[in-house]
Amino acid sequence: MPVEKVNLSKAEKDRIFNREFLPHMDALYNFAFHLTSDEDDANDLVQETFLKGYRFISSYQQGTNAKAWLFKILKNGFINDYRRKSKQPNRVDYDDIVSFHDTDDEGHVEYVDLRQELFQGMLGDEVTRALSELPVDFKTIILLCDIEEFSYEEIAKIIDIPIGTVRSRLHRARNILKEKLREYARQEGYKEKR
Amino acid sequence: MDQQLPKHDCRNFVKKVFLVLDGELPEEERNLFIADIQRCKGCLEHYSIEKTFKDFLSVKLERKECTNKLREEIKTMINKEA
Repeated sequence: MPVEKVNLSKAEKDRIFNREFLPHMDALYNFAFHLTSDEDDANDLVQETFLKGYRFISSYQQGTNAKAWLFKILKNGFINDYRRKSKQPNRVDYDDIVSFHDTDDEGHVEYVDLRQELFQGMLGDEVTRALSELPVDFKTIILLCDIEEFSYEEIAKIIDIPIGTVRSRLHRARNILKEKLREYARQEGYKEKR
Repeated sequence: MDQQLPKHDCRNFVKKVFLVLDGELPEEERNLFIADIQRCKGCLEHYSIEKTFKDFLSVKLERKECTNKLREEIKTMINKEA
């Protein structure tokens, strides 16, 4: 259902902004940082997101899901920048490959077993590095589900994909992340006890 | 309780485990799943591993917060908007 746009005064806009948007600043910055892997880029992305959010505040339905709304704006801003930069000849764009393999078909479900003893000894920066190396679509969905704890329905709206694709993409993303962490563990000499 | 549960099938575990861990199943279905995997040592162990992995990501991944400088810049920027 389209939201009826209303004309809001500056005071009303500020009230909505301060009460409903600002509390999500840290979560948005964390998301931006892990998408960009760069503090300055994350700063720019967050500023751009809040500016857009404020300018389009009349499109936002008060008291609904401001966090998801802002995350969608940030995600779109990041994707626009990312696609523009990935047009550079020396960059490989994995997004099309990732999207091509998305499927709602759960007939064949791969499962990667990563033993607790392997990953529990890992440091935070190893996890951060592993996540940063994922293709952007996989990185995004892990951040939205496992870090920000959005529901599948919210994730589907933020990323603009069907809920079935949310499930399959999450499953693939987690498997790839586990494989990366297993590889790090091997490189660091963690022993896989069986 | 066992008499009310259908026969355990490990294949259902892989399909449902993340629906349970991601909070996507209604409470009743979740409780049935948990009761079901109690009957299978392998499934119970895998559930524990997956739950720990999900918790691990949430705890271990570096959490960044906005700097005060960024907060002030955003507030200044918004104050300038009509």
